[in-house]
Amino acid sequence: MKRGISVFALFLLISFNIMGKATLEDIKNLHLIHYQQIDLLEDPYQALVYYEKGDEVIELYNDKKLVFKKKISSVTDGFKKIDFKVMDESTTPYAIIQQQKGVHGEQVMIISLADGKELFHQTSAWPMEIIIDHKGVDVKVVDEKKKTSQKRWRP
Amino acid sequence: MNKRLFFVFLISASFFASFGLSSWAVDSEIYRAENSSFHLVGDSLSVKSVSNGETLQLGHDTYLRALYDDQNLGSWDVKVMIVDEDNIPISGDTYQTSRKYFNKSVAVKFSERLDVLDENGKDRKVPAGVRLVRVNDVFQGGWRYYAMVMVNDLGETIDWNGNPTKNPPVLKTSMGNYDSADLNSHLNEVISSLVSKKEVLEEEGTLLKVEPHCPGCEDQEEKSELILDTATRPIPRPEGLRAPNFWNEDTIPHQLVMDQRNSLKGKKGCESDRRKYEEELLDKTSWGHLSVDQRADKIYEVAKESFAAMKEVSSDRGGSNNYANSVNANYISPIITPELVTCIAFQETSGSLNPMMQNYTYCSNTKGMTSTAHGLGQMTRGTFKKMKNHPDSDQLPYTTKYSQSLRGRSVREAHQYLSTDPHLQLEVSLRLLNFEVKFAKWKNPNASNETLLKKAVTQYDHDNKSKYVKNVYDQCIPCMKKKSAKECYNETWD
Repeated sequence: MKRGISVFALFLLISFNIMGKATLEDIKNLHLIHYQQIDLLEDPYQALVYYEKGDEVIELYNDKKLVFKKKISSVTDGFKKIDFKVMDESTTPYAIIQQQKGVHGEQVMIISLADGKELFHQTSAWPMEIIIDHKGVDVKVVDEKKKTSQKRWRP
Repeated sequence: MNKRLFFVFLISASFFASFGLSSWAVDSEIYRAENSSFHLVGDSLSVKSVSNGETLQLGHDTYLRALYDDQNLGSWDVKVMIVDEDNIPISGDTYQTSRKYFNKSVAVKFSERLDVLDENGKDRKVPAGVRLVRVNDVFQGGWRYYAMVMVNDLGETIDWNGNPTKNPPVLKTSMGNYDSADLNSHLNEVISSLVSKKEVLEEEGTLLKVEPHCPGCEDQEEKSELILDTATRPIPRPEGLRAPNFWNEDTIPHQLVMDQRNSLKGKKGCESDRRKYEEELLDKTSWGHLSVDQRADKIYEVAKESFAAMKEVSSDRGGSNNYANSVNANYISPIITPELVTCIAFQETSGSLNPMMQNYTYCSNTKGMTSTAHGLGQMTRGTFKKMKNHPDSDQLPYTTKYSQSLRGRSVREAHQYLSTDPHLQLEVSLRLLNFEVKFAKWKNPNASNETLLKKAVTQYDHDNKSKYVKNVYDQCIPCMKKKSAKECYNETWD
């Protein structure tokens, strides 16, 4: 009966799927969203983002020492991206964190990796354009009436 | 256990388990009862005993034998027996149930066209995606075939044009054809599910992406997601006949608007051309030619219907654990109201109140749009996906009479499909607001209802400094308690 063949084919398909993605499934079960380590100015920095009871938790480490921790709602404020950067006019590296904000908005935060202080914070009702270069960070934000404005951050 | 050994064990176990099951399936032929059809209940179904009037609520995965009566295919009811997996009656009792609900519960649809003999005995093809209900499984004689009728989303029997009829054409197809189409559809569902799981892993950053990845650039995203071999990608799900509802054409409105984008984006007048096209699309619906004022009242009407449909399938009253409540989609917070989502829709689409509305990045001269927001709730695919694939439980169950049409669709497809029905758009927004209110309650158990609602509105938008909260919470919602939706829309946004 074809139903039997169907069951057989499904199990085979699922078996191969498990074989190919088990490591990723393991990571998923740990609720790990993002991990990154980078050496800047000869020192190691880490970013760790994980899911915990409805929140996404962002942690930044300076040579394994926790310097910044923030919880954001996983559904409407979810983590998007993190960049580490050293600017020309600074001896301190920064973390530039982008996240979702609201159903269709975005937010960017700039954190000093020396002490975990939040140096810049900007929300946008719609996706923002962001340019990170050796001088600093430039963002184009859009308000709810779709009006755009430029924001600039320099160290 | 060593991971490699574990895999070998897992694969072997799956292989032998599947072999065992397939052997069982081959050996275990179902009982062939004449003038009846054998079914597996999909959605729960209420049946009433013919002998003593006792009512039973049959859950998912119950087997039924429906008795065939070719003279009464258009009647309101159908007689069934509750049977085991081999089609042997569990009791001698016969039950009666609504044919419409029965059809909704047991209908199947295939991802490929099905060859049938039509009511006149002529060869014909049933389009993919059309719902079919078997009415007679015929094992006698030389040809073993299924007799079937076509039904719509509501479970009403329909003719070849998709119109409801009490005298539906009875189609016949060989059991081989039917089983083969059934097998292919199951495989396609599994593959769609794997593709969807892979998208989730990518969304969560746990799957390595093929570079370059450009957030929001849909065309590039499509390319970077090609991991499954093209030979195993799901067959696109063609749309079949639809119930005469809000949108009746085969191509969904979202796709039609997107098809126009390349000729409009980056050009002067794009915004007005886009709006004009969205209005043309709306004219093809039951909202056609409604004024903006009339749309305001219509949105409120739809919000009440969507809310009622959610309440109907969400009977949980919640417990003392606020976190468990927050992730229990079957518990609707008592402070969520249709007025709340109506005001959100007014804010999101003020000016046009058009369910076909795309977002402003449509006109940006970029290859892909940077935002996927559309519709009355301006819901993005990202938020939709986060709700659907919430780590603790699905926050977007497709359980209402409206959202059932999203079943079996990938997140991408389902998000686009929202454009076919304002009920769906408002249901998704209601689900999100419900989650946010309960989540805020978990974070602040002693917060007032006012604080919780404001928090939910703030979560919908980006911050509490904007006029969003003022418009929605301070003006529109209080107004809706006293005046009509049209008046509140005009007072707040015009």
